[in-house]
Amino acid sequence: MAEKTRFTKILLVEDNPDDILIIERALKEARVINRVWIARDGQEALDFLQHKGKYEDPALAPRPGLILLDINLPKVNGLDVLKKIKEDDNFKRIPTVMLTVSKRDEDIVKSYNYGCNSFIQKPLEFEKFVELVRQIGLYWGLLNVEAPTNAG
Amino acid sequence: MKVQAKLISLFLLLSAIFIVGRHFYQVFEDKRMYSLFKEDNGEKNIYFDKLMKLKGASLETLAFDYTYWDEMVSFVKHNDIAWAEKTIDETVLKTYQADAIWIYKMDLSLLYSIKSQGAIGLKDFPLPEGSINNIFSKDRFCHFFINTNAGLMEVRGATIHPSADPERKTSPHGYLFAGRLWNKEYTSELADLVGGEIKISLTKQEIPSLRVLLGASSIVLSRELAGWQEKPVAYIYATIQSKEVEIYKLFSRNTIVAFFGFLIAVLIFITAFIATSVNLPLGMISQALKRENPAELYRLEKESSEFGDISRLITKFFRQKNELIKEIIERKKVQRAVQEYTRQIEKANKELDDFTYIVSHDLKEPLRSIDAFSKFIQDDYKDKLGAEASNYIERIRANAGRMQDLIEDLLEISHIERRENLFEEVQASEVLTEVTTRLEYAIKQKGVEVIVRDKLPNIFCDRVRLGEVFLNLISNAIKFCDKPKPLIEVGCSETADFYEFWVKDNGPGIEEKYFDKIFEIFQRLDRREDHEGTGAGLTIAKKIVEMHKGKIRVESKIGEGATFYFTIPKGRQDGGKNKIHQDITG
Repeated sequence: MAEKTRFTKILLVEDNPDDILIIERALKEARVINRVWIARDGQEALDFLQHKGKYEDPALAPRPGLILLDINLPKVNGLDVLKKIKEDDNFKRIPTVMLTVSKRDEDIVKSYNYGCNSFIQKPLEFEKFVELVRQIGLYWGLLNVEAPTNAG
Repeated sequence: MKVQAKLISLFLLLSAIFIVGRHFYQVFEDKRMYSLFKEDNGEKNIYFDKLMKLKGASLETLAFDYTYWDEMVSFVKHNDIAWAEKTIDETVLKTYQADAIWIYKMDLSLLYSIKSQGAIGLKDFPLPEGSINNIFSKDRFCHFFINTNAGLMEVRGATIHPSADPERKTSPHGYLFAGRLWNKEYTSELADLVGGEIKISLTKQEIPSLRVLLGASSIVLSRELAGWQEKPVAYIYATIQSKEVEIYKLFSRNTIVAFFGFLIAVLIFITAFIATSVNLPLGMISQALKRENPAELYRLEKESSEFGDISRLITKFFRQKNELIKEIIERKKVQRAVQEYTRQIEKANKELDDFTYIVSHDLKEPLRSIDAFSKFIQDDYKDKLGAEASNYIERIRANAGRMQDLIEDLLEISHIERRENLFEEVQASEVLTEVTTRLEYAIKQKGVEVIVRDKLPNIFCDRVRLGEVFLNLISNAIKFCDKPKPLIEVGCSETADFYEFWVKDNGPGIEEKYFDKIFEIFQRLDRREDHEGTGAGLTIAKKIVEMHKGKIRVESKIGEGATFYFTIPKGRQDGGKNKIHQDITG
């Protein structure tokens, strides 16, 4: 079991290519051994989960064990993506962590109301980012127990 | 119901009472009059009988005297006509006011008769043959009326007896009848005596009831005039005006007219008085109020009556009302202006919100990239970079960090008044402990000693914000400390209305000219070279303290450190009602 959880698949929903690079590097430096899939906007994230559009082939889009979700996204806003995920019986048990620069009360309150599992502000300094990513990987990838995929 | 209608009703009611009163008075008067009339009627009846008797007395005397006389007996016995003609002549008729005398013998033959001048046309004694025996069968006297060709005649008769027989017990010697015609002359005499009208009628006439007669104040008396067979042959009617009743009537009517006339006059006067002194002003006031025009009352206002008072009050009221309306209009204008202003401010706030979000998100994103990629260069190309390049990259990263802090402060200030945290009862000492725990790293690094001097009270505040005040003040003190043994002291004093907290350091101190300026936003930005800057920490602290309706100030001397004071009022500052317990706790 423990062996399996180390390889938690992560879906990163992020439109900023800089941030994608930074997060990937932070994951690497933090030695979080997971596989990361990237969706560049809200719609793509939903397509990934629902096997639609370019993700029609399930092999291209495995069910993630963790979703890192930005709020300010093109096409479909991160909060709407969160809402759809948490309203969908298939996906609502996938841990979803909001990873954003926003500190707006409105965004925080809405995120928790929609059922996000954690709300984390992106730190500016890279060292802190690495530390944060390490902790996320440790907690969600190693400590946290996933719900069974076929649970009702 | 309007006053006018009420007055009219009152008038009608009083009139009705007067009319009813008058009616009952009239009934009472009528009763009295009737009894008076009845009494008068009775008296007149008696009087009439007496009068009739008196008037008939001479004829009765004649019949009585001449039949109780020896000479008459002799005359009847001897047929001495000469004696009769000498003795029973016209003088006798005149004396006794008789119109005819007839003397019969016992064999019922007429012995002697004589007629007056007035009875020329009178034929023989009108009594039927043989009736004389019937007439005297029971009595020695008779009195009856009989219709003759000369008119109605009253007849008195008697049997003739000698003077030796005053009781007239013996057989009569003859019969004497004396008659009197009730002609116009006689009836007018009667009428004069009665003081009214006399009417003789052969047929019975209906006499109106007393009540009808009362109406005309006339009394009608009637007597049956009996014939020799004791049946009425004629009737006499006397109509007499009742003077008493007439006078009484007149008096009564005059009294009633005078009394009720007076009452009605009084009533009209009262009504008119009320109408002019109450109804008229009331109407004016009512009209003025309806038209909302107090100017109509200018005449009433001069009066000293209650209506004058009312009018003055009304005028005053309207003046105040107009002033009030003006004021309301003014206020509405102001209100509208304020609303418009508020709307604009809200709009501006919204725009500021959007702006700060853009600032927070869009300005911070590139900063993070700058920092991250600088770091990547540092890490990945460490060997290839010289010391100078590394230093430059360090500076890039340091500036990115400072920029990040500035942005955070900006955000904090713009949000500080809009975020609504709950006010609650808070142990200040607990908050302070949390803050020092958070700053533990910096405190240890700089070797700062933090001493709490007083027991800190329980206060009613926004817990998180209060913490920020302490955090900003203490972290500032740490940041600027320049002594080998940095010391930060915290304490609290109390007045009637508020607590005053203070945070004292032994740092470089602040010039007096900056006492106010340091609380203004980014004051240290223009002195960048001195220190890394306070950013907006003091501005944030000031805003939070003011949000709690408190004040913040600084006292300092250059080289001797600075003391920051801030007050938090006792009780609730969120417009609440309950004062909290103000126990000082450690």
